[in-house]
Amino acid sequence: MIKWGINIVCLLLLVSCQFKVPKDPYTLTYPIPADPDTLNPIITADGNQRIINDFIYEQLVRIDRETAKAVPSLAEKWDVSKDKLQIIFFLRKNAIWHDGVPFTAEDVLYSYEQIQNPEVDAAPQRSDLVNVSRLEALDPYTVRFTFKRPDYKGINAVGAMRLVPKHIYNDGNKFNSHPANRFPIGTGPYKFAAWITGRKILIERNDAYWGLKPDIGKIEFKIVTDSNVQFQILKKGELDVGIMRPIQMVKQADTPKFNERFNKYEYYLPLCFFIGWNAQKPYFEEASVRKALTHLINREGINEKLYFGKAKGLATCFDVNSPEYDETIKPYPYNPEAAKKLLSGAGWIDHDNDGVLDKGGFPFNFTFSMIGGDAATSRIATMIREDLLKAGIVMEIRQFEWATFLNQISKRDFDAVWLAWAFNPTSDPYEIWHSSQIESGSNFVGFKKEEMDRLLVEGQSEFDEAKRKEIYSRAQQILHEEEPYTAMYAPASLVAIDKRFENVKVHTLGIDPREWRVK
Amino acid sequence: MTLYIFKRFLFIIPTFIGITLITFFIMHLAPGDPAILKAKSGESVSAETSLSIVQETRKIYGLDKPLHVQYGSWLKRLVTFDFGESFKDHRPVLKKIGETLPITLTLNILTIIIIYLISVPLGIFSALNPKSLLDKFITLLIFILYSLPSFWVASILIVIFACGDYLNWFPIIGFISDGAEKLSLFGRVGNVAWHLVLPVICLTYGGFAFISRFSRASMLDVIRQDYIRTARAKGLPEWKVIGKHALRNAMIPLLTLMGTLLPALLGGSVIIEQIFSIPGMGRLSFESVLARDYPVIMAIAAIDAILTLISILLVDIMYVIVDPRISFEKR
Repeated sequence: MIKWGINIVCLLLLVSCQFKVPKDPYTLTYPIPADPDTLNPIITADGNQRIINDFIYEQLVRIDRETAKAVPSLAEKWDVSKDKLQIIFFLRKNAIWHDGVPFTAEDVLYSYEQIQNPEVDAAPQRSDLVNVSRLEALDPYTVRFTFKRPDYKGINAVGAMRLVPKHIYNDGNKFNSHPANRFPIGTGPYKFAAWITGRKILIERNDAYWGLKPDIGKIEFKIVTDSNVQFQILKKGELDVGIMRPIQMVKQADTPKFNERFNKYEYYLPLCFFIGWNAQKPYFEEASVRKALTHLINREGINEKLYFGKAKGLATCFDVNSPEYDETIKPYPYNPEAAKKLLSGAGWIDHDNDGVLDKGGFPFNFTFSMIGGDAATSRIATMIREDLLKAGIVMEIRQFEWATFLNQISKRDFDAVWLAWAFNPTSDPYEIWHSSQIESGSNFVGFKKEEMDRLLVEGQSEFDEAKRKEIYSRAQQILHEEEPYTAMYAPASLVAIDKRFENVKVHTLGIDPREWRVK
Repeated sequence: MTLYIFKRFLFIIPTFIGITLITFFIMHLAPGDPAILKAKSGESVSAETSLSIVQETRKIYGLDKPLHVQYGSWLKRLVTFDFGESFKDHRPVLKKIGETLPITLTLNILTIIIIYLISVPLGIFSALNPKSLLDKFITLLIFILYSLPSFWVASILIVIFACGDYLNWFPIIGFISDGAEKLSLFGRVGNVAWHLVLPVICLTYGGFAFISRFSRASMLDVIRQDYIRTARAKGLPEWKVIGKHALRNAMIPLLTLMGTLLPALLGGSVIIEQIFSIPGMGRLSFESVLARDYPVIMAIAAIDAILTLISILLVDIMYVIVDPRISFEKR
């Protein structure tokens, strides 16, 4: 019996050896955490499809990774009308879909119609285009967008409109469940090759591409659901790119073996983690109390302990990679003394000597709502609770699951909330801070200030970069004074890349495998 | 007996409707709305527009109709085995389940066989040597195993056996290698088995305690019976007493457990599937619940309900076959 067991083990090991095929150096293996919902860029609602579709599909303009500004892609150039209400795009004549059919204005029109069609499940894309009133094709290679009001981000919004081939999708099949959703045909530098659900998605270089052809021949997106496991198989050599957590980068990725194989890169993600104080609750009505809370939270300490200093501390919730971000505003330091003064100034004093601050008979006791399940966030919440408890403020932590959490927020049923904004080239601070968005929009903390409202409206239609920078700089100052959020940090993306790839550049907006060359 | 089975079969229908009805309403009572989830995945949008877009999305998903109408149309489609389209990717729900089912089935059948193969003999051995040192040791061991959290064991196993720092015996992720399609059938089976070693270990070790304690108790009951003493008295060899007279009777209570087997075959383990990147039913149902993907949730609940009901019926029928003392006609 035991002999049999040994035989079976040997057999298994033998079988295993057959799979150590030499790796093709021109294939890049890249991890993604889950299957995308679909590869139809118009009806999708998840981030994983974007990683893949960025190689397959293109848009009218591309956001330059260095300057974060729109540069030509499927549109060769564009004109903005004098009243800033119209943009005319001149399309590239040599762009062809992967099946050989030329790309024309018809495809742009068709994609626009699909996004606006209420029967198409395109809620996120439709909301990107709310400011567009019309799209016309002037000739097969010219299209004109008309806006409802001037918006300097309009070029980013319509330029990033996702485009699908009309001749493929317009074949009588339903758009939402079209077979091409799992077999995309784009115009980009890579063609779709295969999708094995739960295992991998494979794309290969498009040799008929109109632009600069990449050096990497194939990209294999391997589905690795667990981040610890991802790091293990990266070490094992089954991945060429790995996304590390700070502790992995600092403690586990500094071995000679690892350094011999990988280069490590860092850049900030366009995210802002923050604590939102619900101004409609009595505790957080006054700016001085919110400022005091910020002073009480040891943000640098949290960054050091949990992120090994890899995250960037923020003063306000603005996109740290955007040109409008004001570096001169510095986050408030950790200063319990200043906080105490501010709190007693606002009337929060421990009158009854029970160790908890109170005002008008009410103790300072609030709930902190967050999404459960992430160990790092839970530890941050606990650290914040300890920090506040020292100053006599009691914070109860409540963890929710995402859908429930959204529900609480849309009902404004929370005291303080832990969340993050993800910014992209079309995000507009108007949605987060304008007082018109308090009722049911994204200004769920109920921030209201007349000057801010004015600045936000001015900023939207200011096409002069320097002036716009001034406007948003002032807006950030207001946010810093009023402190409706305690901005926490922008986390860093920590990436390990196999050394056989050269010309790996870290831009403001991250890395781009299209530039890499194989040694 | 045929009449009895037929009657029982008819009872399954109202029970099934009851189960799905309750599932349906609980699902809708839970906070969260798929249309809002979808709309919120995009930009932050101004209040008015987001509201109208959410309304349009609800209409696409058929969530604009009253609840009882939604349930009615779900039931109507069910008769033709149409479980609808997933909200998430608009693919037929049955196709999504069909993709994950073979993986989960393989994993679970292996797990169940191994659990039974190890725990039943273990339980019998303990029952034959009650209170002995070995019995105590086995009891202690299986309870320690029972208490180890599987995500922890999985991580330890990966670090020791699979990540190459110590040993590099097994693959870490997936259930089959790339390019395994080219192998012979034998090679493919070997390849899958090689991938499943670690996940199956993680899924089995915790199950020993329950089954082995159960068979120990049931065996202990039986060997105290008079007929065992009679068997021994008439001079039968010990293995015959245990193997023929005791074992067969001791296994009858284990049949009841079989009733839970069929539905358990389908339920995946979210944690193990997550760690080993195995695209099985556990992850599908977990993700569907998080995304409020109602059609998928309902389909899985319905299939589970049907299987449970059928297996309860099967167990009852098996009782009669195994134990002649029980009969339906007398009830």
